[in-house]
Amino acid sequence: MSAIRSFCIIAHIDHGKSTLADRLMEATGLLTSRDKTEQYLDRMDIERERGITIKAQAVRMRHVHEGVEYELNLIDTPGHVDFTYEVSRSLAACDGALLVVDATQGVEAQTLANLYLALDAGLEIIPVINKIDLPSADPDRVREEIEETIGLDTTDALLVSAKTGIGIEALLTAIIERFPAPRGDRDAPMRALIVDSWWDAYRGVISIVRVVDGRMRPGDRVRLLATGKTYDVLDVGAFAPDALSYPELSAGEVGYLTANVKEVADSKVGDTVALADDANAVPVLGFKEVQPMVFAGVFPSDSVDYPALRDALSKLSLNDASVSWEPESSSALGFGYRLGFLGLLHMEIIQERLEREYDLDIITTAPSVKYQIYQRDGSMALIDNPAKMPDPGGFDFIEEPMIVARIQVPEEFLGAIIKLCQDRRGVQVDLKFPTARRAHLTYKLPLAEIVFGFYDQLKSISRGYASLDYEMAGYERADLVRLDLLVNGERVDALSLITHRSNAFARGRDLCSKMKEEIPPQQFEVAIQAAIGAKIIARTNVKALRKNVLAKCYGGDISRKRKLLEKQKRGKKRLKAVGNVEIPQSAFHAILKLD
Amino acid sequence: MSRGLYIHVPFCARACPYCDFDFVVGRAPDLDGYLEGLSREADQRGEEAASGRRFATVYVGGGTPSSLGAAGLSALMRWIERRFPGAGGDEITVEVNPEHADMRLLGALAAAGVGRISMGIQTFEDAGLRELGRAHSGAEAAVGLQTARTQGLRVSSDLIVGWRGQTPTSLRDDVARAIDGGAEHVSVYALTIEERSAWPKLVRRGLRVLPDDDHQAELLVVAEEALTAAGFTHYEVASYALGGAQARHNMLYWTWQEYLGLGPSGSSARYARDGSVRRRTNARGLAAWAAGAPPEEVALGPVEAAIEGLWVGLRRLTGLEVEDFLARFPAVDRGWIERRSASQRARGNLEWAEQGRLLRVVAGRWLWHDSIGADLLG
Repeated sequence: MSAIRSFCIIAHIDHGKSTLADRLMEATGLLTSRDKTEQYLDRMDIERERGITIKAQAVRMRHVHEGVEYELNLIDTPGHVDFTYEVSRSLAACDGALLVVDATQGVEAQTLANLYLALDAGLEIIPVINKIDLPSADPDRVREEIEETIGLDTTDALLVSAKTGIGIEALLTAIIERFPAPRGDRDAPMRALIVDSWWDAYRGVISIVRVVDGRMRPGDRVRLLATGKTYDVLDVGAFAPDALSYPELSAGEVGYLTANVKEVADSKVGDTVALADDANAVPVLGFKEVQPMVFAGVFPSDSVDYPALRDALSKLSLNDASVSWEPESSSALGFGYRLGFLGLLHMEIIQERLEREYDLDIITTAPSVKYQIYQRDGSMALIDNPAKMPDPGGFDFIEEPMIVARIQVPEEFLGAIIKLCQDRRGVQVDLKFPTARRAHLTYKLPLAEIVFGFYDQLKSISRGYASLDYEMAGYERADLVRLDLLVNGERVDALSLITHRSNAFARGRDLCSKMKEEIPPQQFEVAIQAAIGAKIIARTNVKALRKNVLAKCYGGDISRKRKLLEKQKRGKKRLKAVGNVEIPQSAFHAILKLD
Repeated sequence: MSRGLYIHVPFCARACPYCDFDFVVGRAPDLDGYLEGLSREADQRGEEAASGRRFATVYVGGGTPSSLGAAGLSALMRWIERRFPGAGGDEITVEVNPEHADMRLLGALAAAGVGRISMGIQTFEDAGLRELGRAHSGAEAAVGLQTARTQGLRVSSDLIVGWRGQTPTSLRDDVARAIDGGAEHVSVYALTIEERSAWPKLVRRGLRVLPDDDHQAELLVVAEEALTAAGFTHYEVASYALGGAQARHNMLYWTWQEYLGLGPSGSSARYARDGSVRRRTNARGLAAWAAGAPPEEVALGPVEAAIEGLWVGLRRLTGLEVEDFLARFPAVDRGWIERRSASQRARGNLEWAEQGRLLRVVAGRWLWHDSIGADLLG
């Protein structure tokens, strides 16, 4: 066990995490430069393109140091606020973390949230200053910044260039010398932590585990403590970088496990694997069922694709147990599903995967959170679809989910960010200056306010320098109303939204003017109205199309004319009918752009 | 069932800035080369263009057929008579520009057996003619109409509406002058800017504006009111006629008849007994056509052809005759028409008339004919 080191890499996007991982694999002989694909760890297209990690991965490398062969486990963790819980579980499988900072950029705010999670998990941190080969590299300034912002001693910080390979050997040595070996008892009853799971068409569910105590062998009868289900272990091994079977995984080792688990939902991140007959097994860590926070309707553009959407969702949820989905129908968009996501990034990823991996053309409605509606008789209903919220007077009061947001922001943008938080109904909880130039701002905010473009605004106000991390903070009562959009008197259910009463007028006006831009002139005038219950609070209209006729038909060239009309018709395929008004799909996205 | 012959004359003295139809601009059209080309094409078309085939109507369009001059047009008419003896028994129409409508040319046409001319007057207002880049004046057009009458030619007059500065009053005046000049048929087109014409460039240079939809709609309605008040029937989306003066050749298009189009970009249609149709459009451009560039061909099956036929037939504002339609397209039945037209009837754009003998566009709704067409074709 003393020859095992398990670690992760914490880095801001573009600071070179994946390149460094590739270089370590190359230096330990796992990848030759010939077969290296850029960013080996990020297996999904979307991960590779966006430079983010969604699924945790683990690779096992071997490195000989002073005559001893070490087993180095690199655990690649997700790195986004939507996936904080997953990150914390991945970190629990590590003993150390490399904090990678770009020598030309310095410490970026986004890195900090994950770094704090690593420190909370008690990991040893090695600061690594990357990209020192670049002419604009300023390692001394970056060192200073790390000490100032994080309070980490950088005397022994390593200077590397993942691109050219400078400092990689020294880094391997530091990993072995400075990271602690895992603790655990190989002779105790087996216990292992599930770091992540995914579904493989050939092998069923594959889980990445860290064995904490004992030994795990094929043939073992095991029990997952959270679900209570038992399985027979089929295979254990490690990725190096392809899957390699081993006779056993013992305490301290990180590797994979397959056990005839049919669905990812049965092998959840953070759950503990123990021997089936060990009735007293204690979970490695507290297990938490992750709950979707953000909900949106997903509809096929063309209703014939509804079965294809259902198939795609069932396949997708094999691999991502955190997406929830149930059928939904809309008078404007037909049949679809209401999906629940961990956060906005998660929502975008799922949307993209449906479009790309499953080749579906979909319409996603504006995201919503889950509200608690209290009736006068004291009963409570949960609503995650604004269209289903009762009219004013139809309930006693509403509570909405709150978050505590931690925002790291350079001092010069602080004023603007505070204003943003105030505008979003935030209440300041704390303001600290760990360094003169950087503020740590803590705000309590309604989750719904974050869902609508908050992150984008935060980024644009701070020119990308602010970072956001948040956690749920219960429910609070609020004066919320359902804002409806009507076209020619008919409610467009997919465009209803829930908003604070104080914002309703502004949102209503904004929504009407956005719709006016989106709805093309029709044969008759189209009235666009925003309403709260029966009360119209904003209105506008789209002038009628006075004519649509091209009289000329040159010399009997009917084919030419027909082609022109078919072009018009193709445009129309993307229109959805509400009553007799045709609304383009883009209108359903415009609601996302409300301020 | 009758059959029409269309001859495309691809020569123009100058280009109109809004048009991208098939033409070459030149001072001296190569008449011999063009006639040789027509002969070659007619021979290659085989049975479709067999000399024994009867063509009830002949339409010589362009381009600017009158740019061939009196002698050139006479030669063309002789070629037609030689190649297709007896063609045009019902009607022979030639497009004539007002600036060419002199005694010599119109006399030559009458002598060659032409009974009808279509004159591209567009407007009698000189400011409008300058805006449209036309070569003639309003006075020339008026004289041209008069001359045609003295030659015993029946006249159709084209009017363009919706150019910058046109008012309802000046349009009413255009209509009155065309009728006074003896036109028994008037075609009214909203100014349409073709993408590949010179107009968009002129707009960028600030010399023209794009037509305004509302302005055009208003004027199209003014034209309809003025013409129907004068006793004309609005019998097709763009066409008005007195009494029996409907354009017989154009009617072939709207009643699913066959036509043979010769010359560059000429269009042809041939129906099979089951209603399926083969449409052919010759290569664009004199040079390409003369070099034998292949035509574009579209074959529509019996039902597809019926779908197209429904739209095309509804161009007739007097109504699509259901019985004739079903005779042409035996693959469909009355119930099919019911279903196919249901959404447009529900919208109030189409209606049944004369106890279901006719399906037609509701009065005034022809202004959305393309919306109706796009929906029927979908």
